[in-house]
Amino acid sequence: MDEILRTEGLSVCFGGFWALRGMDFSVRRGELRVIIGPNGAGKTTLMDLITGRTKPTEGRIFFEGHDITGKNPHEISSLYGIGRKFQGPNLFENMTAAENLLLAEPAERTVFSSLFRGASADSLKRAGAVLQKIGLDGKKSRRACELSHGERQWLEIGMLMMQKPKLMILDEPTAGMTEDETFRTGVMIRQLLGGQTVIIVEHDMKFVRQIAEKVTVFHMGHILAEGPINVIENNPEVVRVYLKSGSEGEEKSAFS
Amino acid sequence: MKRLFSVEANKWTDAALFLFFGIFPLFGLQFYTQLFEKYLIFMIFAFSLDILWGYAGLMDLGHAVLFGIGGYIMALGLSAQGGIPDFMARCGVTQMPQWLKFLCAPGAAAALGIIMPAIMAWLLGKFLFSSKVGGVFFSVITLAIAQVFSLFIQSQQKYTGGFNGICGLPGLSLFGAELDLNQSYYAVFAASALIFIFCRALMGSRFGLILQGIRENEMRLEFLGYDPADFKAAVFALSGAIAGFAGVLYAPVNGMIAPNDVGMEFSTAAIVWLAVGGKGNLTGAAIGTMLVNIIGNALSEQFGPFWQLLLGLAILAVVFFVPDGISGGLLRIFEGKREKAADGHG
Repeated sequence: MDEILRTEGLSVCFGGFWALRGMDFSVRRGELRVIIGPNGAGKTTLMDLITGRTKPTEGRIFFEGHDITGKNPHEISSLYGIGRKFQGPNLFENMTAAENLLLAEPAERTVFSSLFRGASADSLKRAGAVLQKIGLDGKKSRRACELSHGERQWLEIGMLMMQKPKLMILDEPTAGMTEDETFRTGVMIRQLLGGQTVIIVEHDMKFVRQIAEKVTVFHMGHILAEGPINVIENNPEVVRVYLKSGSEGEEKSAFS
Repeated sequence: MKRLFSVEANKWTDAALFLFFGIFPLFGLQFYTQLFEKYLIFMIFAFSLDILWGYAGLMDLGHAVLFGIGGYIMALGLSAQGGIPDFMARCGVTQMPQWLKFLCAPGAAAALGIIMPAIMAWLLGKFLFSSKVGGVFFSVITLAIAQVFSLFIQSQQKYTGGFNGICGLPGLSLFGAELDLNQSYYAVFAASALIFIFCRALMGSRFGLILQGIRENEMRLEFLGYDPADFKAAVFALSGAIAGFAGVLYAPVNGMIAPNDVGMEFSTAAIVWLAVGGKGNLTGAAIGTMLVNIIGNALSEQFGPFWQLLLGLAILAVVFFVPDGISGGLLRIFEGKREKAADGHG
């Protein structure tokens, strides 16, 4: 089993509240993993720990065999190749859609390499192709803040397509989307798969059924269950803590 | 994909400004030529603030410190051309200090006047940005530094001329020969045009794009693999070098330099030029500098002591009605038109 990511006894404590407790979580290379669970279960916290936004209280994180525990976000992104889409679009608001994509391009990312360097023909071509994939080719010179909510979510997914990280983390990519937009997002994410490992945090069960292979259920800072979607959906424990109140979770996610 | 890296709407404004300053001395208005020469130097200073504040979003409220370091180094060098300067002799200095001998070569003074502010900005930037100081805190710290710096200059009467500053400086000279008014004007004009082109090229490159990314969403940029602290220190140093260069030109052109050229007052003046002209596109820095200074000058001639009050009202009006400044307003109109045309094509 070729593991790309593994956490060992990962715990984090925020002022007395243990958001994660001794989490052992692992993902295989090339896998599409969906994480579900009620609000406050520690889903986003785990993503913060993997990408270096939060430092763990205890435990270690390994990526491709390297210990990345406690590294800076920019190192984790540039040296190890972990990319992230945030919960709710997180963009460069006053820059155009195309500029947002070009910034995500993993090209010159240091001061001296970027001085007087224009965009290469290749990166412009890639940006053009990504714009087409996310359905924004007619709006490439629109500022991010002028796009609709769904389009903004897609733009951030497009940024991940440009970045081409080895591991892609999508935190609630369909939050606040209409049913139709959600379906299109699922198709987009399916296109992404191809050598890349993807972790998705989601609330929308219909969307999870559309894309999921293996699902992990979080509850109160630890893993409650893990397995194929059809098995998980019939697990009585999962139904009790999460799926029963699933519709409520969906509503909440729309406002988060 | 054409308008990714350049702001085309400003092309015509740039050309018009270039033409205006290029032919202005031909009208033979000596007084205004002299005045505009000074404004062209202010423009260089405004460009240096624009790459820092307009692009990277770092509002330096003490930017004149960097200008002042360059200006004072140049002024000291120039004042020591004929032996110990008067203001030093008056304070009892009888022997020329070693460092001042070195500054006697105008080339050396000019080089140091550019390098010193760059190094100081870089060091300060490294220290502040790697300890995650940003936003308002950066502004407050730079404001405090400006105040301390101008007090420091006033207290070191022996070496800086104290409150009176250093005056009676010789004008701009090139290869040993002092330039006349028109020559000096064109030298400054060429310098500001070159700095403008340099800044435009740099801000149009990936470096400039990354700076804008820092301004818009620094945290997001970190997760894309960039270290924002490195970029902020770099642009601060670069901005320091350009501000220092403006100071180096200012000392001979103005004939004197004094503490109020380097403190809070001049720093906030530059902030106002950018706010009025519009920041983050360089053209606005040029427009704002000219407009505020010309109007200020005209008002002071017309209304005497009330001119600053009237200028203040005019500035408030601009900032209130056109929050993006004049160039930002122009840009929005152009962009709107282009988008309509682009959407028409599908």
